[in-house]
Amino acid sequence: MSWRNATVLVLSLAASLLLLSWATDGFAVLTTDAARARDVREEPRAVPRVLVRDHAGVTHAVLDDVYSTPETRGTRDRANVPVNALRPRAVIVDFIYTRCITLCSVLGGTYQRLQREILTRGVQDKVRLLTLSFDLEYDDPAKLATHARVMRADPAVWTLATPLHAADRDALLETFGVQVIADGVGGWLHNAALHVASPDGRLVRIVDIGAPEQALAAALQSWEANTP
Amino acid sequence: MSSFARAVIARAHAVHSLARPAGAVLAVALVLPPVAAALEARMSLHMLVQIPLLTVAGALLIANRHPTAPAFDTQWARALCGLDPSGAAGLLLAATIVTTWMIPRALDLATTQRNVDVFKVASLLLAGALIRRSWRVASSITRAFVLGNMTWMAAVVGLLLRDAPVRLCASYLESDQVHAGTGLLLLATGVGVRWFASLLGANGQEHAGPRTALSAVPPTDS
Repeated sequence: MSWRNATVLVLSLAASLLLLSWATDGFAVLTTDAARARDVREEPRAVPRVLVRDHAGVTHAVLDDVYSTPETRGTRDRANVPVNALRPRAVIVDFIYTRCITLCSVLGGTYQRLQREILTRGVQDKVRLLTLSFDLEYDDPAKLATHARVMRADPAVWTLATPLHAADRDALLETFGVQVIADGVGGWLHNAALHVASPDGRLVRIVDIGAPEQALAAALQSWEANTP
Repeated sequence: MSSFARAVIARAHAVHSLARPAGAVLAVALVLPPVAAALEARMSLHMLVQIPLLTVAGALLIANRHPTAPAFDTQWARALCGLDPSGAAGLLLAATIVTTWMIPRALDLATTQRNVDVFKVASLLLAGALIRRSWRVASSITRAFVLGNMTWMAAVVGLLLRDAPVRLCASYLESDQVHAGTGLLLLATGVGVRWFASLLGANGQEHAGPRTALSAVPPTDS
């Protein structure tokens, strides 16, 4: 074999390794979900401060912790509440649409367990839950409130909200790495996960829906890390 | 030469002179936005129709104009052949390209990012061309190694797609993933069986095939 042929073989090998390395993010991941979890872990992302309307009808920037004051926390009538006086909490975010009858109900069950765990451990001053709907047309505050009741969401812990504008929703989905596709029978499918955001509004961790305890641990950790 | 043999050769010439235009038409048809969108809408069509056809188009694009040409009828093709006389480098890169587009993340990127999709098309056309050139010069051991590994791997990927408990592609439904897995398994099995049958049919000839039989006739247009 001439040096020229050997060089070509080495070049082919190098190109092959480069290609596989590109596709697997440095031989680390095979799926988009694994890639985004890794990206976020290594480099937390700032979440755009887009406006959402929550299930009490209050409009606020998406990750703003508007219910962290002792007076407002736990109240059911929460119109015109002042923006928090206490420290904002870390937040575990998920995406749903209330008409969903498949994956979202699994997420709902996971969130109920998380809510119970948060209250049992008494960490509701440090961690909260936020469910964002991407169904702007259908999920108005009334629908969200109904869903919250069905889910027995404790307003001290768990807020449901919908972005005001489609462009904002798309920006959020993009930042969180959520891909929504039509399921062929009138609904949607999306990559579901538990997204942990720090009190200062950065997406710091994405955890599999089967591991809520990891999400809670990551949220608590990010709250501690944000201690002034 | 009998008139029958002449007729056979004339027919082969006609088919061969059509191979490159057919490759070009196929490649252009596949990248037309509506066609590409339709084929990428489902995982099974993406993996089992678009990607294989792009590879075939790449192979057709560098087909010999003349069936009786010994192997390579263009100067650049001969030069390329001189660089990789065993075909190993070409087959390695081609196999890697085909493998890459079985990775769920790569499929997702191709469906969501335009530049990745363009890269996919270019890389698969190249893979097809590389396979065609390299396969002819490769030894039967190299062929067996590459094809054996590729069909085995594709079959295993097919099984994984069928049995995965979760969606692997963010762009595709789980039911579609099962279809793609079944199809990939069948495709890999089919290619493997077809190749094995051709080995038996070749009857021990090292580089057997109809073209070898015709190559006694000197090329006329190169």
